[in-house]
Amino acid sequence: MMFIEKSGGRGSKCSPVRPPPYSGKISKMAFPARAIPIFLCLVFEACHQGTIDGKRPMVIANSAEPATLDPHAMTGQPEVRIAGALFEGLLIRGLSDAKPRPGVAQSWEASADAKTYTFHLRRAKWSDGSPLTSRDFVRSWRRFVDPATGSEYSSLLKIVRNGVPIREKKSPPDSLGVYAPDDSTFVVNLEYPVGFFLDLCAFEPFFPVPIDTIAKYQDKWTEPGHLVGNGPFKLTAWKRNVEIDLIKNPFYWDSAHVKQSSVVVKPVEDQMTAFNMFLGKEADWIYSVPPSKLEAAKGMPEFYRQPMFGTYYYIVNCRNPGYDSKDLRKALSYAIDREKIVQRVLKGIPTAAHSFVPPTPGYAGVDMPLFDPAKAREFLAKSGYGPNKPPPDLQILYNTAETHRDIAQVVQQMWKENLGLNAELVNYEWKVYLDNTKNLNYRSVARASWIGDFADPISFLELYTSDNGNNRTGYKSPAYDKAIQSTWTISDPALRMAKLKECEAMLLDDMPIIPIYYYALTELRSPKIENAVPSPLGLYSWKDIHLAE
Amino acid sequence: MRINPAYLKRIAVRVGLNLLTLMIIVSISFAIMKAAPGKPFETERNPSPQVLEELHKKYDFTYGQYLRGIFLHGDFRYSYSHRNSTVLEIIGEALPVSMELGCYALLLAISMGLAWGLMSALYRGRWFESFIMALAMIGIAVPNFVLGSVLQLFISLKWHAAPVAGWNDVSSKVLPVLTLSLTYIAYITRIARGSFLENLNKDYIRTARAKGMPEFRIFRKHLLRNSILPVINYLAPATASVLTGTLVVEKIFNIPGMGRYFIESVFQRDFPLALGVIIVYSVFLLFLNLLADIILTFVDPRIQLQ
Amino acid sequence: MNAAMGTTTAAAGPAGKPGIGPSPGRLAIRKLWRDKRAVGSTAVLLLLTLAVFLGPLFLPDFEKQVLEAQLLPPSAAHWMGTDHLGRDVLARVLKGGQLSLAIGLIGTLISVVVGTCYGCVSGFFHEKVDLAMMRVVDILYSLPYMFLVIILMFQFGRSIYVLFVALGLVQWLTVARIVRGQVLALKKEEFILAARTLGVGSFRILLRHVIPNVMGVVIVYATLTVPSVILQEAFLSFLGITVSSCTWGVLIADGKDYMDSAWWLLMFPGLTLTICLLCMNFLGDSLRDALDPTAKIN
Repeated sequence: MMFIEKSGGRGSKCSPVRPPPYSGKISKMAFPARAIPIFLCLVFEACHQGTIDGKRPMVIANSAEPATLDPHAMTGQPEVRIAGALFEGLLIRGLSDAKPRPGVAQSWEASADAKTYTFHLRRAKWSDGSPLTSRDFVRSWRRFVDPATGSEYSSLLKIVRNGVPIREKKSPPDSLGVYAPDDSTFVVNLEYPVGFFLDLCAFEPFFPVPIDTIAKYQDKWTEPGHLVGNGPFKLTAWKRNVEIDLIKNPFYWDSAHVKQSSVVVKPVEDQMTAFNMFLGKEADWIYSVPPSKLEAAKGMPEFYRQPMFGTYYYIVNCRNPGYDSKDLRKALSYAIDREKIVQRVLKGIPTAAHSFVPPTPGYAGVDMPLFDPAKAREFLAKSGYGPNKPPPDLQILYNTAETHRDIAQVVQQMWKENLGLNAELVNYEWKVYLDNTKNLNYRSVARASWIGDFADPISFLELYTSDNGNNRTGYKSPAYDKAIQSTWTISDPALRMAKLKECEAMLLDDMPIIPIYYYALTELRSPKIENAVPSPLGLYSWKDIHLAE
Repeated sequence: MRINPAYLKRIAVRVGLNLLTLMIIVSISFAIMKAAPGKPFETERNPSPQVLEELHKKYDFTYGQYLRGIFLHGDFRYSYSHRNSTVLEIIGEALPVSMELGCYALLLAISMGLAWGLMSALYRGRWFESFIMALAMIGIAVPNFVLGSVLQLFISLKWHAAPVAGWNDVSSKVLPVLTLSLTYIAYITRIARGSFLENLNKDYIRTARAKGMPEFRIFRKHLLRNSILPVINYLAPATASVLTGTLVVEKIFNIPGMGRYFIESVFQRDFPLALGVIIVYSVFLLFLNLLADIILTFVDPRIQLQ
Repeated sequence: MNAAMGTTTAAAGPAGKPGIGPSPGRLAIRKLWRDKRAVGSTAVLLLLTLAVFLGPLFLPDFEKQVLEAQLLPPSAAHWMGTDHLGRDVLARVLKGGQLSLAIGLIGTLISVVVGTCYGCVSGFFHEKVDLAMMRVVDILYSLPYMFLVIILMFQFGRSIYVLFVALGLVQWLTVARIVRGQVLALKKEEFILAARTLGVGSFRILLRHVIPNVMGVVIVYATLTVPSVILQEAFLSFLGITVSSCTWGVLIADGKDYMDSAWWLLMFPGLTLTICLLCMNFLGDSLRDALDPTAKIN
């Protein structure tokens, strides 16, 4: 970038004496420099935020630009947040008690064998005024299960009759076990009774989508002006990477209850910038706090910490020699001082994990010791490895991020101090990390995390069945598979939870995964925002929240 | 003026070469991206094989398809990570923002750089010169993300003189433009100072003064034209690096420009978007170089367009 | 450097021959010695290099986390304080210096070697060869190089060697252009013609006559490139493309988040980086003034 001046050719005169400083009038020559004060004056121009109905919109800093607003194509939290504003499903997620509330469905019954659910829909409308009928639900769920739509969550529909053959392309989407006997009744036939089916009905991909609009506009149906939804808000503007504007949807069935007139959602990827925006009053609500500011934030009245239904853990490649022994895995697990990590590195925000499944209402859970170096050394001895005979290629693989790096470094040090083992740290960027973990290409230990989609232990426990596509450990236990399979058909909730607890105990006895902590969300939220009660998954109910003046 | 058919022909040849270069660049980028590990549609949760199959069927494209798309239909395809938007739409919204940011920064850099370069040349030997040169050295040695964060902390948060982030009205544009331009102001000040110093002592300036020409006219007619050559030479690589400089500024001040797509598209293996971004940047670089060369031929009659 | 510089352009012949004095190399060294700025910068850089390579031997391990001692301000025990994991900042700054300086020097070295060879070949031989080679340079120049660096980093992993190569491969183009320009000018010199007439092979001419005379400009450019490469690494670290958790770039990128709560995390690495870069820039300026025989501005 440096410019190298090539001086003139030979023979130029060298002036041995420094020229006297110039004394003529220079004011006119230096006029560009005068630009500075003028420029600075413009700094003090005020900036206005437009108002609607005379009331200021609520400004939210989302953690990323939504990849899509199509509920069937969504995968990430930033998108899912907005889906809840634009659409509404049969049921709405429960609040603090986690029981689903009526949404489009005002009442429902289950059959005696719990394999058929009948929903009675209220008279709701789409945001363009057209009526929302049960046929819309039928068509939406068919679109959801159709592999051509490319929805990542379509595996959830395996519980509905014919869901599996449709996903394997052996049946047409029309054969899905959902029916609309009349405009306001929606019937679902399940393959087997599923205890948490009602929770699923509040889950975003199960929302209705305007099939006719999609047919008309194809991939462009989510543009403002095209997008039609049935949620408490409607989309008025979508300026990519700038903001998404929402205003109250007058056709929403409960719009009388919705007090917030408008919302502006700004995607802000840099956590520090979001934090600064909150401090500078340019955002009313941000969904994460940068690690360097956690201490400062904890003392602020606007700080909220909610436990989230997710776990941060390490996976072990159970196929590789040495790591197929559960004693070594348990040694590695017991040697990690989880409290220390949570308190020191993460500033006490998350909770140290004593099991794989985070605390779930109605589920008793397993209690694994948080840190037991003596036991860890016992297991290590039993496994036959030790400081003099280290296990081959002990490595911690993680995707490149500051927190993962910090935690890995601390764990590395803990293994050294407590077990005398040296681990290598390897980091790859996200896609390469995904590739390596999915193909079991990592040597020993890798970082992983899982957020449950619905508040039920099975969303975690089914991960490590032998054939689950998300099982990246190579762990295969027929006994575990059988145990998990059996829970699907138990209809008594208490019995089912007890059986799930047994399954988790089995899993933790084999320890193919090493839980570290349960996630917690950190938010900074203006105290003027009312009725902000998060679900266990960290999502808020848009129809209730409201920015008071 | 010297615009004659031969000159225009040379320009046409350059444009043709630029297009050829562009093709080569696109080919190389395509090959590298396809060869990189990691696939576009993978996320933490595995979509089922059938879903992946469908996604690939819908979105995959070969080299031939891509070229045919862009040359015959002007179709740069849909982005993989923003599935409801085409690449043209995304770039179309982001490019003007980055261009505006870059232009303001460069304009500020040129005007301030020339002014301060001139002043430090004129005030040779006085404290003012040392002061400006010290500032210039700081501008060169301190990374711009540090400067940006410092400005954000003090001017936005502590003194409330400008918004923290965003790109809407004038006050939100000041800090990003300032951050981006600081390094270039520093470089241009140094280059301009050197060039002015070299020329201030030349005989023709002394002659002009002896003839009684007013100072400003001397500046405008003689000094500026002769001294600006190194600055223009610097501008071509500078503009290229402004494009990467916007990456930092856009991150800190949350500006919806092209910079984030630069990194993000490679990160997500979003091939169409990455290729689109590469093409846009390369077109800019190639034609800016051409423009710089053309301007040079007008400024210095000795220089021939190649 | 001085010997090589002196061999051909103005050989110190027997006394009495007109127009022959000390070689440009010797003149340059003399000028530099008198230039306070140059001497000062070199001294500081030497001190820094010594500290950076020898210091860690006397200090606590830069990786050792002491979770009880997080974010301590500078004190007698920790001259530059501790970071958010309790690691000694002074040890990290010195270790970071090793890495950053290595990245700067090796990246520049690669670019200089590759660029000089390319430029020499391009400028010295047949015009058609030159045209073709320069076309290639023009094409490569137009590639948005940051893109390439990023893709290379993703493709080959986060190894420091990849970074050396990536950054070096980006800079060699300018070196090639500069060298080619010099070689083109040198080609017409009499001593080259003389060597040719005497039947000296092209390769030997390049090696013994051309390269030594090109070195001056290349060295100036190299001295000014090292800081640029270090800054580029800092830039990549800020974007998250790091090769190590402990280069100056990473320390500064991490430290800037603690600007108002733990100022020492940004101040010390930042100050060290700035001083290092300033010295290199001063040295480069002085070298340029010293080596340019027609320099009028001191």
